[in-house]
Amino acid sequence: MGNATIFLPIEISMESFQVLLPDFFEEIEEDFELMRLVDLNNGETEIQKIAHKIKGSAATYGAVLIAEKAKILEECIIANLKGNIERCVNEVGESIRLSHDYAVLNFGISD
Amino acid sequence: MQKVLLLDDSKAVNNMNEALLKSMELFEEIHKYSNASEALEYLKVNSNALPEFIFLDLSMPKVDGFDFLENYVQLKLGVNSKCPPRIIIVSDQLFENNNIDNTKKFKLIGVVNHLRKPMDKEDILDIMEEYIEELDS
Repeated sequence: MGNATIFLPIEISMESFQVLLPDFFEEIEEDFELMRLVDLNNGETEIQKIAHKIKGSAATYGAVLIAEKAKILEECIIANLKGNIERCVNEVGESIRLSHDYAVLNFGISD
Repeated sequence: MQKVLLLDDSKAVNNMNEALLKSMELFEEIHKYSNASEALEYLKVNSNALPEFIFLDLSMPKVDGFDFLENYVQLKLGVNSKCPPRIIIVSDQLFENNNIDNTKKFKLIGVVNHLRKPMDKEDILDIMEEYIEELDS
C-alpha cells in the first residue's frame, strides 16, 4: 500500500497541527463515505470531484499516501479505466485508515 | 492589512490556511467560507469594507470557483475602489486540462496570482511583496 507517514507542514506548530488533524480526518472520512455511496457505473464525475477534494486537503495536511491514492483514482477516471475504479476507491479508503492510525500513534490524536 | 477571505469547500483546508495566515500575523480579520454563495453574500453585505485578498478554490460543488468569479464580476464590487480585492486562485485545477489559458481572462477581473495546493508561507510572502510594491508605485 505504501508509507502512511504524515508530514507536519513546516509553517505550523505541532500544537496547532494536533488541534487541526481530527477535523481533517472527520471531513475526509465523510467525503470517503459519500464516495462509496456513488454508483460506480454511472457516477464517475461525482467520484472524480470527491477524489479531487480529498487529494487537495490531504496534500494540505501532508498526508501523502491519501493524496497519492486519490490522485491515482482521479487519473483512473480520466483515463476511463472503469474496471479499476472500485479497486482505486478501496485503496483511497485503506490509505485513510492507515494515515489515521499513523496520526493516532505519532500526533496523539484520539482513536 | 485588514481583511482576507478564504473560500474552499474543504473546511479542513480553510482551517489550515487560517492557521498559516495567523502565524504570519498579516491580517487583522480572516473570514472563512466553504460555500461560494455565502462568500458572495458576505461581499455584497460588506461592499464598503471589502477584503484586500480573496484566496479562491476552483473545484467546489454547486457554485464552483468559475461561477463565483462570474457572479463576483456582475456584482461590480470594488470597481470604484483604489484597492479592489486581489484574488488568488489556490487550485491544482488551473494547472490541469489547459485551464492555464484562462489566466489572461482572470487578470481582467482581479485575479493576480494562482497557486498550487498546498500554499505555503513563501507563496504568501511573494504575493504580499508584489502588493506592497504596487501600492508604493
